[in-house]
Amino acid sequence: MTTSDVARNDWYPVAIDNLLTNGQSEVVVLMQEELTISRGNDGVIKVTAQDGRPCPVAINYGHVWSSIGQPDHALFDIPEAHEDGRRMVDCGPVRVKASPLRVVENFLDIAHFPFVHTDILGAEPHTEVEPYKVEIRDTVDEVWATRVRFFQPQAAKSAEEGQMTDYMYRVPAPCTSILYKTCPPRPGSWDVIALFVRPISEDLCDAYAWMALYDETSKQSDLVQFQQMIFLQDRSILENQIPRLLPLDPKMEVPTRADTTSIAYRRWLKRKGMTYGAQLVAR
Amino acid sequence: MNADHSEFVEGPDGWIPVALSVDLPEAGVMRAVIAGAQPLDLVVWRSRSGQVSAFDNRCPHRGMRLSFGFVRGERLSCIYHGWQYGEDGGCRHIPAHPDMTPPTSICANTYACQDHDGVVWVSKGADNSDDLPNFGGQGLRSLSVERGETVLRKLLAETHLPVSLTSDMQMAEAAIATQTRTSLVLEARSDAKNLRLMVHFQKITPDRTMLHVQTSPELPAELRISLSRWAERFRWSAENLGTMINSWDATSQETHP
Amino acid sequence: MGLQLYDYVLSGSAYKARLFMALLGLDYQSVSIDFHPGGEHKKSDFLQINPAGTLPVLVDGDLTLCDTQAILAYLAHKFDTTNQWYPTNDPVATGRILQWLAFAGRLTDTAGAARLHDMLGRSLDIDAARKGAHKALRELEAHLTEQGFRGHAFLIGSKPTIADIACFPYTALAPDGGIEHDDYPAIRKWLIAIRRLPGFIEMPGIHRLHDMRDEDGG
Repeated sequence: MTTSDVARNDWYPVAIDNLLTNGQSEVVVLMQEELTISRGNDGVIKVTAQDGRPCPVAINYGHVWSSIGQPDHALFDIPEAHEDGRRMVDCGPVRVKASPLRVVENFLDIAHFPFVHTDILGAEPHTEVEPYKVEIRDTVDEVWATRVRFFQPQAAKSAEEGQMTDYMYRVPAPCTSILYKTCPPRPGSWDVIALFVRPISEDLCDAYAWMALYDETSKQSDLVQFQQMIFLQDRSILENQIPRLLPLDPKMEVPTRADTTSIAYRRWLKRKGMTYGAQLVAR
Repeated sequence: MNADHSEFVEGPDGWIPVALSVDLPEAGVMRAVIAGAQPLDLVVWRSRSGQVSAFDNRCPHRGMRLSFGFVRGERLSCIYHGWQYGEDGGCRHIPAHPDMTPPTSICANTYACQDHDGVVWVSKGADNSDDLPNFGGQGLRSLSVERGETVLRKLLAETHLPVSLTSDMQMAEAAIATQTRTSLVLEARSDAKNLRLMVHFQKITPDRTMLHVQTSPELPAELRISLSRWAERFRWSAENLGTMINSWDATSQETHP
Repeated sequence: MGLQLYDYVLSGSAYKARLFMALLGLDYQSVSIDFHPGGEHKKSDFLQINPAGTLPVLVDGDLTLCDTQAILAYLAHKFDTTNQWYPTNDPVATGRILQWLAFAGRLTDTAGAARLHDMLGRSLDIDAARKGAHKALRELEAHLTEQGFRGHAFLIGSKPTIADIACFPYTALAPDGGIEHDDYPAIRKWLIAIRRLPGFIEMPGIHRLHDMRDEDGG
């Protein structure tokens, strides 16, 4: 399968800004192409493809972003990143033997909380997923799920007891998912947790979690490890879904009403022609 | 060493041994691979009441391997979203919608599966009236060997088995008593009575086989340990046979450039 | 001051200490070290505590222990009043336990290394790591098979010891590094037996045994 233009011409995370020091470089793979990310002694970051061509660079949300193609759009905006009082937390890349699209879809799913994140994000018998609202917002070309509610024993590092947690999900790009959830120490505000995924190939990727939280007390390393604990509970699931590519053929898997976000996400990918990491026809 | 590739074009028919019964206890769940042009990835599980079942190893919902799942009562649950399946493969419960009765169309793909004579067997065809062995033995162990089945059958015909419990372990020449499509029986004479070993073959790939080994019933623990060590040695010699031949070839090439 | 554990949530070695303290019912203070992505374990503050730059580290008053297996032995000696976990009055059991503690190091160097490669993208010889892991798992499988014939569910006898705690994490987490348990039925039974121990805690990559919540179904 060739890399679709939609996939080629998008932005992907290639490094954590803070961890790349002056005069240092690192090599990462983006869609089977090796890229060298280097920071000069002047602090300027350059991204170079294997054939020597310069690649576009954007720096935002703690990460260095690049592309093997030519994005015709700026990197999506996360307005909350600019709000005062939020702590930004880079949780680092974790490698997953799965399609980047499977990784994003799992991030949009709440029904797995009681079984995969037991006693943290969910617990039996509180397994019911109440109806929620999903839309593809054509003006911004994004998938949104709102009015999502779920019972959580320990919703965040800062949570002390179980509570009904409100969620919103936003998919601003095929390989990025952002969730907004009830912020335990600050009712009325939303914590923001994003997952930025870099496809290494169609069925292998690096996932970078990033958070913008209202939490003045937790230690940074505790926040990182809480998020890593959650994501690593998902990893063994993601590496054992068959097929490894995300099926876009509706006959291939059986969704229910709880999967409304995933249904919209798959439909949106298909409509955009985002086929990298997807399986179009059941095999 | 010739691997038996020919049988893999169509894939094996009939009952295939996938585990010793003792290795799939009540509420146990495991993965089994059946060789073929399109290898099968199966989940094999045993309910609380002891019933064994085999499904395609993917939950119809989101493709998750059901071998990661768990058994409650007579149902297998997927670890991902907790969807529950009965032994017929039908979905019985979806935790995200606890009050809904799942439509009968939600169904895992099933295979015939039975627990017979201390071995769990799976068949691709539902009505398979193949004669299965009645050995009446005791499960020893299952072990994977990086060799094809044909080679292993040949090597087993030349093996020696430990037959006594004395410290200077006595070995006796073994002979193949019977041989079937899936299994063979080895017999070795000891002072008191004949020691019998039944080996069932599960092809994983043309060059990889899972051996499920049973022994005569009620052997003392010491003899079972000796037989387990015999199985280790047998595997070692089977896997190193090719290496020894290859290194000998390399040496002879060096001496005769 | 009580026990302090310098800890990292994804470390199988740190999990040995966490798991053992949970099984003994011990309270401790966890000090999280940003192993990934921060690399805090190789920075000067932490190197003051453990010059080797490895996790976990246990601090108990004036004592600082930087070796996982030593931590298990210390905790057993000091807090296990039943003398079950490390029966040092029995020379045969002691010798066997020490042998499995050393074996646990091999699991870390093979299955643990493969996991670091596959999960955190560390550069190393992945084929050698997986091959070494399978070799070690075959040895473990053979031993547990024999233990089964003796009627023993654990590495040393019918009760778990620190040898089981030392070998459990990187065996259980092997699939994270592409090393499946399919070929090892005795290991699978042993992993379940450990996961059923009263007070057992999981870590990411080792799921809860949901079948223990047996109220519905059928």
